[in-house]
Amino acid sequence: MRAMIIDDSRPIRRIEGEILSELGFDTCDACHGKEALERLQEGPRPDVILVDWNMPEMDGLEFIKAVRDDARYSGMVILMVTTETEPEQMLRALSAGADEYLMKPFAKDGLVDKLKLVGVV
Amino acid sequence: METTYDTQIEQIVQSIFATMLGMEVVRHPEGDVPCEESLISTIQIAGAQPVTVVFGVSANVARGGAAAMLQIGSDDVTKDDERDVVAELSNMIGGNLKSLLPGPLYLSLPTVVAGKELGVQVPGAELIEEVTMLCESGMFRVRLYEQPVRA
Amino acid sequence: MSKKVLVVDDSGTMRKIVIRALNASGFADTVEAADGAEALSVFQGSEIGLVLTDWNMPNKSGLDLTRDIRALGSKVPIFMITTEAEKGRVVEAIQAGITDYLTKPFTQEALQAKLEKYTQA
Repeated sequence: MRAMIIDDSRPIRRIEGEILSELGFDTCDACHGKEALERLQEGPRPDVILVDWNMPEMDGLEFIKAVRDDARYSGMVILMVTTETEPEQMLRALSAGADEYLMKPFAKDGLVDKLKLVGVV
Repeated sequence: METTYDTQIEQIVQSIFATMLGMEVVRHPEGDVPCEESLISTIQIAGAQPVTVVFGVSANVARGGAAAMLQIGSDDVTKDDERDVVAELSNMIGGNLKSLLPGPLYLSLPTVVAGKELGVQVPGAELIEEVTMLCESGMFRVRLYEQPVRA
Repeated sequence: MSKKVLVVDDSGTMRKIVIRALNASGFADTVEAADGAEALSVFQGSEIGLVLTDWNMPNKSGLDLTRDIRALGSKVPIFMITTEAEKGRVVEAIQAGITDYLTKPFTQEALQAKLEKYTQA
């Protein structure tokens, strides 16, 4: 299984990366949506994407829309991981095409539960 | 109705420190303690009533926090680690606080500055809340500034 | 603020705490229900301006209560009071139609801030 982690925060990329590696995922990183789209084009297809919302260049919401608009990436599981905690923001992310939503701060178990919920663990 | 945010700030910070750093946080027993902040992250919550969140930590909290979040020894913590961790913690504080303020609001990306005894200045803004806290690594402070609303 | 608030919780103590906090925030007119089924009949029998409900209750959960109220076509603000454990499932509650949520234990100020957010203007 492969996972892509998109977050402008290095500590968050590292924390998520370690949890995913422990679960047996091969992981790759991107600092923002634009870089992630480039990675998707050149690299192997991830089974799950963890994406932050607020990032420079291209934010998580725009990234999700771009992925959902591209038939090549159909069926990819996307989990939004963000400090945005308002219901209306969650609904925006879900209607843009996020499969699940995890609020920061999160504990390891919280992330694992979400990965189970979307069926990649 | 005047809403104060100090209890919420305390709760939000306690939850973030407990979840991400495994650290307990208490309110500083003395309200007015000297400024020990050496790393300061600022994040804007933009909207009808813009608010600036200033998260300042002592050198020890910066190092201890980075070590705890990245799960490395404190001797292995780099300056970049400290900046990145302080930025992310302020991002979580801002994001969670935003849900309590009347919206719609937009969160900026955090900006981190380093320097001893920095006089924190948010030009033209009014300090509306200041909470000084303690964790096992030392003291840190969260300040909220209200930006004047343009007519 | 003459809105009648429906407070739903199977714990009488919790209802007291919530009502005290509501009163302190200027909401004097409250009505109680001990589970979702009772709440639904109270809701249908009177003019309710705001619903504050617990998640986990016998007979009918807060989640099902929310679905039932929305099925009636009502747009009344519904606040779900969640525990830390239920916070991970908040996406489900949002999709069911809650307006916002509060994580237990919450402070008087936290409730007040949420109330002001949805009852202003």
